[in-house]
Amino acid sequence: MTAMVPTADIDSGSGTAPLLQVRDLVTSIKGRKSDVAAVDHVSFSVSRGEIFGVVGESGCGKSMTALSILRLIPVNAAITGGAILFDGVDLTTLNERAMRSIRGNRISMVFQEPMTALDPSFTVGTQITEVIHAHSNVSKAEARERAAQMLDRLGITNAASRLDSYPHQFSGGMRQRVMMALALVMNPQLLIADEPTTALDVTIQAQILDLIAELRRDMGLSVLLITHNLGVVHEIADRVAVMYAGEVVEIGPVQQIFANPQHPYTQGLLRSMPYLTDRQDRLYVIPGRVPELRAMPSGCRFAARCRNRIPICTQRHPQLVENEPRHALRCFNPTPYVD
Amino acid sequence: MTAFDSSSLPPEAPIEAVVAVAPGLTWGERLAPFLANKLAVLGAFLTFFFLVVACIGAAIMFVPGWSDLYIDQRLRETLLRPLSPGFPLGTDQFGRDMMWRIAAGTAVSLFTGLAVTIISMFFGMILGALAGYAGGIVDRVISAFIDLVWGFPVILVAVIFVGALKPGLTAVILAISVVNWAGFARIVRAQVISLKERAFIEAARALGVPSWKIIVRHLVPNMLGTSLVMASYYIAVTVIAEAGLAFIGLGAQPPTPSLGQMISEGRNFLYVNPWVAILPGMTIALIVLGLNTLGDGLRDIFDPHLRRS
Amino acid sequence: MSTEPLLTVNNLVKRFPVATDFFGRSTAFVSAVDDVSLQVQRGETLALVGESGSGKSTLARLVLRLIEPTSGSVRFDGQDVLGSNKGQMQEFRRKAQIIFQDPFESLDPRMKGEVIVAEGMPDSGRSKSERKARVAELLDLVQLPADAARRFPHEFSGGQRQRLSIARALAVDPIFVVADEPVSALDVSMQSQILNLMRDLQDRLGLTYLFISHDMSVIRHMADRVAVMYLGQIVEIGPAVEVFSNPVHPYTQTLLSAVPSLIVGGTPPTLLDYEAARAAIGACTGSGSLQAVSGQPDHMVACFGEDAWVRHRGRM
Repeated sequence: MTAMVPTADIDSGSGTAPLLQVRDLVTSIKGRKSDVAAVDHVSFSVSRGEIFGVVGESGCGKSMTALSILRLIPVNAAITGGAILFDGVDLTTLNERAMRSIRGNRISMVFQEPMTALDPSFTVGTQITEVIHAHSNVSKAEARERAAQMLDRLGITNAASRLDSYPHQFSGGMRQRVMMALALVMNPQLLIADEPTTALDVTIQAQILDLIAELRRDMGLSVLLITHNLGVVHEIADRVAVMYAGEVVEIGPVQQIFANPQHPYTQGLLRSMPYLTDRQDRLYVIPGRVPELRAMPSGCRFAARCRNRIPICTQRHPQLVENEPRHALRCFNPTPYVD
Repeated sequence: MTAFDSSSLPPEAPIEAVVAVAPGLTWGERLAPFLANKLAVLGAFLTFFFLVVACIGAAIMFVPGWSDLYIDQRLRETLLRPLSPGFPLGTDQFGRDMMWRIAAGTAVSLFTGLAVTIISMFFGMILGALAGYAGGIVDRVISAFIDLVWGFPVILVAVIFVGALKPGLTAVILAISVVNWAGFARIVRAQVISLKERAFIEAARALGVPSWKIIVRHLVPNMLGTSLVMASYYIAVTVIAEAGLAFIGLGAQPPTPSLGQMISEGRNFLYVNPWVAILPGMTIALIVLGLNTLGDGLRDIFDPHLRRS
Repeated sequence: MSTEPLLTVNNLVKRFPVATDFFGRSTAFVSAVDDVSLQVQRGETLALVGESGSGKSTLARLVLRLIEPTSGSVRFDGQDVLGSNKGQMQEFRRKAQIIFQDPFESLDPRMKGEVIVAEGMPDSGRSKSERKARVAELLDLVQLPADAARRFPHEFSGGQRQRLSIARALAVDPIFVVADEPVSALDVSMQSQILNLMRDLQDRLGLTYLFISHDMSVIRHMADRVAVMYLGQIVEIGPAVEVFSNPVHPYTQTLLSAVPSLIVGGTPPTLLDYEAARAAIGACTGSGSLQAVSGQPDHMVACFGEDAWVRHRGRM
C-alpha cells in the first residue's frame, strides 16, 4: 500500500502542465430538503493531445462533470467547491462573458443526439458561420470558406454545397460530423464529447471514433470523452476515470485499467459485459443498484453491492489512493482481477 | 475458488431489494410543481372564488322571489357609487344593486363557459379520437371538416344562429360550441396519434386487448390531464366570447344580466359613474386571469416531462 | 429432428408509402422488409441483428401481425397467421408475445404494476383472488419484490420496468416471445441481469425467442442462430458460432469488426478476403439469393458482387 496522494497529481505523467485540471470539483443539485452533491470531489486532468475517458452508468455524475467544466449546468445546480483550471485559468471564477468567449472557441462540446443540438430551422452553413462570427472578426465570405473547409475536413463530400442543407437532410452519422464541425471550427484546444456515438450504428460509431483519433493526431486536440460504453473507451482513450455515485472510484491508463482493474465496481462492469467471441453460460451480475443521491451511505458508496466488503467499508469513506504509478482507486479491500 | 465466486452472495433473487427504491410520489409531491407556481395558486383561488360567486348568482336567479335582488328598480337611487350605504358595489342606471347583478352575471358567464366547453369537448373528443385512431380516409374527411370549421369567425356564426333562433343564451352557446369543438378535436386527434404509436398501446394490442378497451383504459386516461388543462383555457376563451357577443347585443337578453351586456349599458354613463362599466369589466378580467393561471398550473402537474424525473 | 418449425416466414414484404398524390394514393414506396424468409425452431433463440433502417423491428411486428404485410405468409404453430379470423387471432396473441426496447415507453404511466401484469389475462374464468395470486406468481418469476404490484412505473428502475414488461408478456403463457432491443436502453449492470433472466425463463418455460438487437456482443450471448439484416433483406443467416467466427458476407464482416473491442476470451472472427468469401458460397445464381456456405449447410449467405464488397469493406 502506498500513501494517499492528492488526486490531481494523478495525471498523464507527461511532465508538462496539463491543459485541463479539475480539482475537488463539487456540483450540487438543490433539493427540497437539502442540497445533494451530484459531482462529489472529482479530480482529474487532461493533458495536451490526450483522450481522457470518463465512464460510468446513468446518474453517476459524468455528464454533470462535463457540463460543470463549461458552466452549462442546469439552473437548479451549482458548483459549490473545487477548481477547474483550464490552461492555468480557474473557470469557476470567470464571469459569464468571459465564459462565453471560451465556449465554442477554446473548449467545445458535442452531444449524444445531434438532432437536438442542431437548430432544425437554419442551414448548417448558417449555424457554423454564426459560431465563427461570434468569436472572430471575419467577412461573410471568409466565414463560409472556413465552414466549408471544416466540413470537408470532417469527411463531408461536396462541403461547399452542403452548407446550404438543413440538419434533417443529413443522415445520423453525417449529422454527428456536422455537429463536430460546429464544435471544431474555432480550433478549440479541448473537445468535450458526451456520449458522441451512443445514438449511432456501430459502423458509423467506428467512423466517428476514427475521426476523433485522427483529429487528436493531426490537430493536437485534447478530448474529454464521456461514455457508458467501455468498448469505446478502450478503443481510443489514453486514460480513464471510472465514476460511481458522483465520485471517481478508479483512475489510470486505459491499458492498465482494462488489463488489471482493481476496484470491485470496475471489475464488475467489465465482467458483466457479454463477449463478442464466445458464449458464456451466465453473465456476471453486480447485485443491487446505485444508492439515491439523497440517501448516500457514509461509508464506501459501493459497499452494499460489493463482494469484497469488509467491516471498515461501511464505517469509513475510502479515499482515492495510488496503488501503482498513475493508477489510483477508492477501495479498502481491492483484490486482483479474475476474469 | 476466488473471492469473486458468485456463491458468496445469495443468487440474484433479491437483488433489486438490496437498496430500497425511491418512494412513490405522494399527493404532496405531485402537487409540488403546482404549489411552487404562485400564480397557479392565485388562479385556483380566483377560480374557486368566482365559482362560489356564480353559485350565489345562480341561486338568486332561480329561487323564486330572490330575483328581486337584482331586478328591483329603485329609480331614486340610480348610479350610486360603490360603498354607498346599503349598496356595497353601488347601483346602475335603474337603481339595481350592482353586487347582485354582478353575481348573477358571473353565473351566466361561467355557466355559458362550462356549457360550451362540455358540448365542444364531447364532440371534439369523439371526432378527434375517431380521426386519430382510425386514420386513413376517415381521418382525412374529419380533418378537412375540422379545418373548415376552425376557420369560421365566431361572430359570423353567432349572427347566423341569432337570426335562425332568437337572441339569447341558447344561440350564443350553440354558436360558440359550433366553432370551439374543432379546437378540441385538433388537439385530441394529435394526442391520439402520438399515443397510438406508444409502445404500451402496441403491447396491449399484442396481448389481444380489444380496441374499445385500449381506448377506454389507455387513451382516455392518458388524455384526461391535457383535456382538463384545455378545458380551463376554453372556459376562459368562452367567457370573453360571450361578453363580446353580449356587448354587441347578441347575447343574453335583459333582464337576464350578463357581464358583457352590463359593460355595454354602462358605457353610456362613464362620465357620471364609470364603475358601472369598470366593475363587470374587472370581473371578466379576473375570471379569465384565474382560469388561465389555473390552466398553467395544471399543465405543470400533467406535463409528462416533469413526471419522468 | 424433423418436427415442423414453430414459425415459418415466407417471402414477407412490407412497403411503406413515402409519397402520396392529391387523392391520398401512394405514389412511391420504401421496402422496409424486402422478401424475407426464415424459420424459427421450437425452443431456440433466433437473433436478428442489423443497424437502424435494416427492417428488423418491422419484421418483428409483421411476424406478430401488429402491422399487415404487403405480401408473403407467416405460419405459426400450424396456423396461418395472416389468414386467421378474430377468434384464431385471439389464440395467436395468447401464444406469441413481445417485449419492447424502452421500458419507459412500454408501460402505461398511469397503471399500477398489478394492472399492467394482468392486462392480457382473460377477464372470465378467474376470480379476483386467483388473478392476484397469478400476478404475485409472475412477479416472483421475474424476480420483482411482491410490493411491485402496488407501484407505478415511474417508481421502478429501468431494469425493474423491463422485468415488469416481461411479466406482462408471460401472463398469457406464451410459447414464443419477440424481444425488440430489450436491453439497449439499460445500463451495463442492468443489462446482464435482464439477459440472465431471459435465458433462465427460456430454460424454465421452454420459450422460443426472436431476439432483436444491434449489439453484437448481446446477440452472441443470446443467440443459437443469427440472421443479419441489411436494407430489409437477410444477408447472412446461420448458427451463431459459425456466423461469428466465420462471417462471409461483407456486411457481417464490417459489423463484427466495427465493434469496439475489449479484452475477451475466445477467438476473434476470421475475416475472409473477397476471393475467399466468394469461393465459400460457390457459384451464385442471381443477386440476393441465399447460398449455403460450403461445409456449413445451415449457414446461408446472400450472393454479393464486387460492388457490395467495396460498399461494405471499402476495398477489394
